[in-house]
This record gives sequence, structure tokens and C-alpha cells, in this order.
Amino acid sequence: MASLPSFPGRGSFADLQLGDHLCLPVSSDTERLCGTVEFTGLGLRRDAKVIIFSDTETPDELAAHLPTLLPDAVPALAAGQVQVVPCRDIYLAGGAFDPGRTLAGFVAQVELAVAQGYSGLWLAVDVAWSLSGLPDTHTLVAWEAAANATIAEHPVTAMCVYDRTRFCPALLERVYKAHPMTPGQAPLRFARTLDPPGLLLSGEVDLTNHDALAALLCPLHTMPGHITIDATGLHFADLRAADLLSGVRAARRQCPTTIIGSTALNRVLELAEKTRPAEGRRPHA
Amino acid sequence: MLESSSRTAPTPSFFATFTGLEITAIRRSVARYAAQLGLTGEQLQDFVLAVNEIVTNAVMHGGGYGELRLWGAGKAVGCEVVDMGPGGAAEVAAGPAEAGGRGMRLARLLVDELHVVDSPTGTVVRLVTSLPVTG
Repeated sequence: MASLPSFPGRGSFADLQLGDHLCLPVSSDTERLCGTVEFTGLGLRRDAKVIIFSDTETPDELAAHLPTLLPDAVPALAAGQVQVVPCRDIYLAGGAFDPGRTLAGFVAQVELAVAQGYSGLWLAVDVAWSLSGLPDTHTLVAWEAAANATIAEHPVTAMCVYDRTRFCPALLERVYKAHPMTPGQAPLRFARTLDPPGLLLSGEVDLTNHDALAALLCPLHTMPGHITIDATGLHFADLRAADLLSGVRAARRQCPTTIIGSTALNRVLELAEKTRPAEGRRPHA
Repeated sequence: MLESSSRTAPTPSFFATFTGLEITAIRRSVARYAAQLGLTGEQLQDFVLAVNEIVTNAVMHGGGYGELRLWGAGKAVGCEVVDMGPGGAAEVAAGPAEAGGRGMRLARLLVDELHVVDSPTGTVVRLVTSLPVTG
């Protein structure tokens, strides 16, 4: 079995948790299969329901591999805890890609998994479906970024598998930045909180996942009432990340926003303010 | 990212080439080597953040890739980031609002010395931080 990429210095693939949105670049069908099998096994060990959205292989072809590579999958397939579904059934339901309808479809699947007694839903997606199913690459990048806010609100773990041999490098770089986690790059974890209302952030933010953070913060701009961004677990944030966070406070104007930072984040927030042109300085709530 | 222990003057403890995909790995390596050279605590965090901003500038405004060298010299730790852009970093450093200029200004606040040298083939940014006085 081919070895999988790891998160250098930040644990391994096996550290995936509920709420993670991982981009997994692979270079062959074997790597994709190995990643999907490992992800499935991990989801089963976490008592989650696992849905594999296949494209390069048919669901039958993929399901045929599972008993050999993951014996635990046999009873889980029989019980419906593991399902293999063609990507087109959710992404192209209705004939064409509709982001709103697709997200609603995923949310319905998560709610069903929870109602069935599972800890949550783990989704593995072979994104090759997009090669013929999307009108342009911008739609794909925007979709990946927008998915973060929905993932933050539900007990779901998503792994998007991209075959490097089928996507152009420039597009892949944009796709990586839209994901909070890509092996070898800064890992960002997140969850929406209800008490207090807001967002929990941990990990690292740099150029490799700025776009994911921006997409996560965007819904907070218009959220009513007092919100709290608890970023005490954010142990590295660069200048752009600090600007994105303080930008939430600026966008919310009269609605109070509390940002609880780690020592590292507080330092860069302070320095970001010092280096901001005078006309752009932001009042603290 | 290509890493090596090549020896040019000043003797680097760490040398790597980078693109935008290697920013995180570069930062972790800089943190590890700078700690080995004696930086600790907030001073280490500041140095790493400063280098991160300069590397980010190189990727965003300096051609998309570059080289980094890090070394210990007596009672200081130095780092040099060379990008392959068209030059103009000195103007970026002086600009008040441009994103790359802010990164450079932030880096200046975090290290003891920051020097920028433009050339037709790229920009060299050298950062130096003194080691804490012991005893």
C-alpha cells in the first residue's frame, strides 16, 4: 500500500478530527484509494458514518476493494455505516452543479447520520467529478472556501481528494489555500460556538490557508449580537490573518466582537495595528 | 522545498529554496534552527514571524519563489531571504499602505536589524537579532 502524506511536525493523517476539512493531493489511483481507505477506517473507529463519493472508479469497483484493504468495512457496508455513492448523485443532482442545493444535500446527510446514532459524518470526495461537471475553476475554488462555514456548524469531517496529474498546478495552489488543512501546510481547526456565540479557532494561519480563514470569518460580519472569536489555540498567525480577524470587528461596527487570542496572536494583532496606515486604524470594541 | 547545509559566507546553519507551498515548512525549520542557535521565548516568536513575513513577501511580490539562509554569528542570529522578483523592495519597504510594505515594516519592529538590497535580478532582505545576554 502506498504511503500517505503526513502533516510534518503537526501529527499525521490519523489525527483527523470531526470538523476538519482536509485537501489531500494524490499522484495516482493507488494513492487515492489508500487515502480513502485510511480515512474510512479512521471514521469507523470514531463511530461515524462514512460516505465515499466516487468518480474515477464506479461505486461497485471501489466497494470491491474495501473488504481486502479494510476488513472492518465489510459489516459497515452491510449495515449502511459505510456507503459508496457516485459524486454526480449529490454534486450534479438536478443536472448541473448548484452550490446551495449541494450544501443542503450534505447537511441532510449529516442530520441523517446523527439521527441514526453516529457521532457524525465523514465524507471522502474524489473531486475528479469537477473536471467535467463545473463550468470554470473559480466555481470550484469558491465552493471549497464556502464549504468551510457549513462544516464549522455541523459534525462533519470532509476530505477532498485531488489528483495532481489531472488538475493544473496553478488551480491546485488556489484549491489548497481554500482548505484549512493540506498536508505539509498550516493546519487550521475551527468550530462555530453557541455559548458564547462565535467561532473557535486553533492551529496555524499563513499564506497557505488565508482564503479558508477569510471564508470562515465572512458569515460573522453580519451575525447579530455580541460574538466571541476564541483563538487561544491559534499558535501562529501572520499579518494577513491578524487583518482578517480585526476586519471582523471593523465590519460589525456597532455589534460587539470579542477576540480572545493566544500570546502569539495578541502580539501580531498589536503589531498589525501599529503598521496600519493612520486612516485605516480600527477602533477596539 | 530543497534543504541543504551548503557552506557560503556567512556560514549558514540552514539553507532552503521555497515557493508558496513551502511557507509553513520553511517557518518550522527557521523556528527549529533559530532555537538551536539560542533564541527563546518571545524573541524566537518575533524572529520567526519576521522571517515569515519576508518569505510571504517574496512569494507574493518577488516572483513566487526564493532562497533562505539562516546562520548564527557570534551573539546574533541572522537570516537572508533572496527573491527572484524584478526588484523594488526598497520602495515597498517605504510604502505606507501596500501589503508587502506593511509586512516589511512589521518585520522591522520584530528584529534588531533589517537591511534591504535591491538588484535587477531580485531583492535580498537580511534580518539580524541579537541573542539574549546570559550570566
